Amino acid sequence: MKDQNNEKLDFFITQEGKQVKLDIPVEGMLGLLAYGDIGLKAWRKKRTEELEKIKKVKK
Amino acid sequence: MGNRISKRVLLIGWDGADWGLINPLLDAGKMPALEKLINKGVIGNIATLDPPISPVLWTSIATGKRADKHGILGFVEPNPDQGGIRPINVTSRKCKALWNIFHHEGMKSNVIGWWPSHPAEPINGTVVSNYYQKVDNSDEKKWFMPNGTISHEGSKKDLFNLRFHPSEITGDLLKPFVPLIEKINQDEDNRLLGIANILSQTISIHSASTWVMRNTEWDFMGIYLDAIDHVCHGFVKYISPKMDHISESDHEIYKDVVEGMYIFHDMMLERLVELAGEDTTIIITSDHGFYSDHRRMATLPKCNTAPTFEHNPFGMFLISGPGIKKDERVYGASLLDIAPTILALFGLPVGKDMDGKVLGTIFENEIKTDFIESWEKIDGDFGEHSEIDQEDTFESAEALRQLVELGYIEDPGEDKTLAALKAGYEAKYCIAKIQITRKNFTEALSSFEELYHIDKTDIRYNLELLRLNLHLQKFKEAKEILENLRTIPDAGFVHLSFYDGIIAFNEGDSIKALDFFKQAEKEGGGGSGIHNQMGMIYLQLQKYDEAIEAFSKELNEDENSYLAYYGLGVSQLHLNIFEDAADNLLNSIGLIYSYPPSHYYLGVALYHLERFQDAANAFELFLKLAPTNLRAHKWLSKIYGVHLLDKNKQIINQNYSQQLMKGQVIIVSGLPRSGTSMMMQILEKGGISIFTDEQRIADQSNPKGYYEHAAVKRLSKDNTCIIDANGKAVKVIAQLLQFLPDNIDYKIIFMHRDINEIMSSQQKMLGKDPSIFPFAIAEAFKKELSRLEKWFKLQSNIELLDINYSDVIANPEIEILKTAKFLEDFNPNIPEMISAVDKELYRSKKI
Repeated sequence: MKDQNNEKLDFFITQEGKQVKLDIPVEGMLGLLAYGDIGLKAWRKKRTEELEKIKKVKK
Repeated sequence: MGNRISKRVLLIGWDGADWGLINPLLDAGKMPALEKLINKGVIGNIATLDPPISPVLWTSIATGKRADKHGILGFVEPNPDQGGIRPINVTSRKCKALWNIFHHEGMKSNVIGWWPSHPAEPINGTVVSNYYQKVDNSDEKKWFMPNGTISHEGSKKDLFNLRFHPSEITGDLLKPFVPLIEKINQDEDNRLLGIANILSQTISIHSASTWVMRNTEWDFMGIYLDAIDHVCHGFVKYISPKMDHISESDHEIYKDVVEGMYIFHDMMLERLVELAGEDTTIIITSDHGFYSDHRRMATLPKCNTAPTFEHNPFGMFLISGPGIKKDERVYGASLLDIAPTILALFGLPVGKDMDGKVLGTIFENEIKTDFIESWEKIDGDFGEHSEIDQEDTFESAEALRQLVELGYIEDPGEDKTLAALKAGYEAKYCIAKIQITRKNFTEALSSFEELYHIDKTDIRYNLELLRLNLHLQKFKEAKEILENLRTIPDAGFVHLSFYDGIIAFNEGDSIKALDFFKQAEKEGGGGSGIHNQMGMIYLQLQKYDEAIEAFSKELNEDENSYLAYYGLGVSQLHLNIFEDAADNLLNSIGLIYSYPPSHYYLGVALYHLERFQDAANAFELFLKLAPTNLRAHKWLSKIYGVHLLDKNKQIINQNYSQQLMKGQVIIVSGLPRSGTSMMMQILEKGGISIFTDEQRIADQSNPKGYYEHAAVKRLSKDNTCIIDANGKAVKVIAQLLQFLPDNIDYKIIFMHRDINEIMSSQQKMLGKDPSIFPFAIAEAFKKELSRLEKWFKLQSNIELLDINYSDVIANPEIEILKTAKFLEDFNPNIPEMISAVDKELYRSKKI
C-alpha cells in the first residue's frame, strides 16, 4: 500500500497528481498531524531547520 | 469457503464515540470525512455489553465473544510474577482474535493500539501494542519503549521515532480544543496538561497507523483510539448547556474540548480513508456511547469503574465499502456482531461459539454465511504467543498510573496483596454480570452476594444484588439492600424511591408504586427508567393514554430507551393505532434486537396493516429468540394459511401449536347481566361440561344458577385454574379476559345486550331502584367493551363469536345453530340447547 507521498516532507502530491508546496508553521498545526507520519516528520524537519537557523543567528 | 466481498477491511475504533455528540457536528459540516462515509454506507447504534469496561469490550469486538469466553475481565489483573496488579495483558485472552484467524488463513493484518494487545502477537503483519503511545518520562530523550511493543522487527526503528511526546505539543496545537488558552493559569490548573497527554498519544497512534498503511500490504487493519472517551470523561461536563455545578469560566474555557477532539478524529479519518483506498471496507465503531445531555453526572460515586456510569449503552457504528448498502441504517447491532461480520466479509466461516451474529441486512445482496463449530478447535499456526512473555514492570506502572488518573481503578497503593485481591473481585464482578446476561441467575446471585458481603459500601455490588433480587422476586432481600443503600452517602444518584416503587409494583400495589415513582420523579430521577416503570403500570391497568404519556416522557429524557419505544408501541397497539405502533416497535428493535416481545407485537401490528409477509418475518424472528410460544405459531398458521397461502408452513405451525397447546376451553363472557348465565345453561343442556364449583347458588336474579367458579374470579392473581377447565365451558366476565393464560386455545362466546337493559338488571340485582340510570357506570362499561374489541384483534389463540342476548330470546333456533356450529368440535346437542332458552327469564326490558 505505497502512496505517492512517501517521505516527501515539505510538499505533497494531490490525488490529481499536482505537486503542492506545504507552508509548515513552526508551531505546528493539527491538519499536518492529522496527515499522519508524513505530516509529523515534515513538522519535525521544519522545527529542526528553524532551530538551526536560531543557532546560526546566535553564533 | 464463502464468497469474499472485501478485498481489505479497515476497522477503526473510536472509544466512547456517540451519535448524540456527532450529529450536531455533522449538521454543522464539521465532520466532512465521516459525512462522506455515512452517505455511501450503513450506520446505526451499536449496543454495548455489560460491564461496559473498555478492554473487555474491545476484546469482544475482536473475538465476537463475551468476557467469560475471551478471558479479559477488567482494566487490571493480578501480576502472577511480582505480586500486586498489572494492566490487563493480551496473554490473558483465552480465545482467538480476528487477526489470529487471518494469520491462520494466510492473510496479513496490522493492529495498532488495540486494548489490550501487549505484548504484540507474532502474527503475519504488524502489531503495535497498546503500550506504544504511553509516556513514561517527562524527558522525551529518556522515553523508553518496552519490549514486546512492536511485533515486526523491521518496523521498530521507524515506529519508535513516530511516537509523539507531550512536550512537543504547542499552544497552536491546543487552541482548537481550548480557544481561550491564554486565560488558563497553568500553575493552578493542570487540565491543559491532560489534553496535551491525550492528544500526543492520539498523534502517536495515528502516525504509526499511517506509516504502517503506507509501508505494508494488508488484508485487515485494526486501529484503536481512546481520545474521545478520555476527553469525554474529563470535559463533557463543560460542554453546553452549562451544568449547574460548573463555573462560568470553566465552561467558557473548556466547552470546546470534546468537539475539538471529534473534529480532529474526522481529520485523521480523512487521511486513513485516503490511504485505505476506494476498494477497502471501512468500519468505524465505538464500544459504548457517552451521555452528553441532562444525564451527565455532577459527581461520580467512589468505587472502581465509576466512570462507566457516564457511558451511554449505545455507541456509534458505520460500515462502508464494496457490497455494502448505501445511505441505509442497521438496527439491532451489538459489539459481538463485528467479528462475525468481518469474517463474513472475507468469506470465512463464523464460529458457532461466537456470541454475535453476521449483520446480514447491511449487504447489498444476500450473503451465505458458513459456520464451523469453533476456531478454537482448528489446529495450526494462529500467530499466538507460544509462552507468556514477561511483562515490563516499569511500563506497567505508567499504564496503571493513567488508569488511576482516569478514575477507572483505585490507587493500588503499596499493599500488593490487597491490590491483587481487589483485582480478583473486579474479575468476579465482570463474570457475574455476564452470568446475568446468560440468564445464569443462581450463579450470579451467589457471586454478587459474596461481593456484597466483602464490601457493602460498593454501590455497584448493592445495585446489582438489588436488581437481581428484584428480578428473582426476592423482595425481602431486596428491601434489606435498599436499607443498606440508604446508609451509603454517595448513593443519592440511585433514586431509591424508584426501587421502592418496583417492589410495591411487584407486590401488587400499583397505586403505591405510582406514588413512589412520582416521588422519584420529583427527586430528579428522570432518565433512570422511572417513566418506563410508570408506563408499564399504566399498561397493566389498561390506561393506554397515560401509558403513552409516560413512555413519551421517558423518550424525551432518553431517546435510546428501547423499553420506552416498546411500551409506546404496545400501548398504541391496544388502541389499534397500528401504523404508529409498528414504527415504535421497529425503533425498539433497532436499539435492542434481542428483546423478543418487540418482535412479537411488531408482527401483530404488521398483520393489521395487512403486511402479511413482514408480519410473518417478525413472528419467525420472535420464535428464533423465544421458541415454544403458542400464540406466535397460531399467528403464523393463520398468516401462512389464509393470507400467504403457504400450506407447508401453515401445517408446520399448526403442528407446533398442537404440541404447545395445553388445552382448549370454551369461555362465555360479557358484561355482568348480559346473558352469560343463560348461555352457560344452554351449553350445559347441549352436553358440554361446565367448569363450576356450584358455590353460588341460584337465586331470584339467576333462578337457574350462576355457573361460576370462585377460582375464576381470582384470575388476575392466579390463572392456573383455567388448565382444569380443559374441554369445558367456563364463565369469565369481560374485565377478566385479559388474564387468561397464553398456552390455551379459547373459543369465546361473547354476550351482548342493550346497555340500558344491563344497567337496569344490575340495579335490580343489587336491590337498587331500576329506574335510576347510573350513567357513569354505563359509560365505563361502554369503554370496557370498546377496549375489548381492540384487544380481541391482538389475540391469536382466541376464536370469537358475538351473540346478542335479545336475538337468542327472539330467534333461539338461529342463534343456537350459530353457536353449535362455532362449537362443532364439541358435538353439542342442538335440540337440547334450544330447549334451554326460557323466554320467561327475559324480564329486564328497556325502561
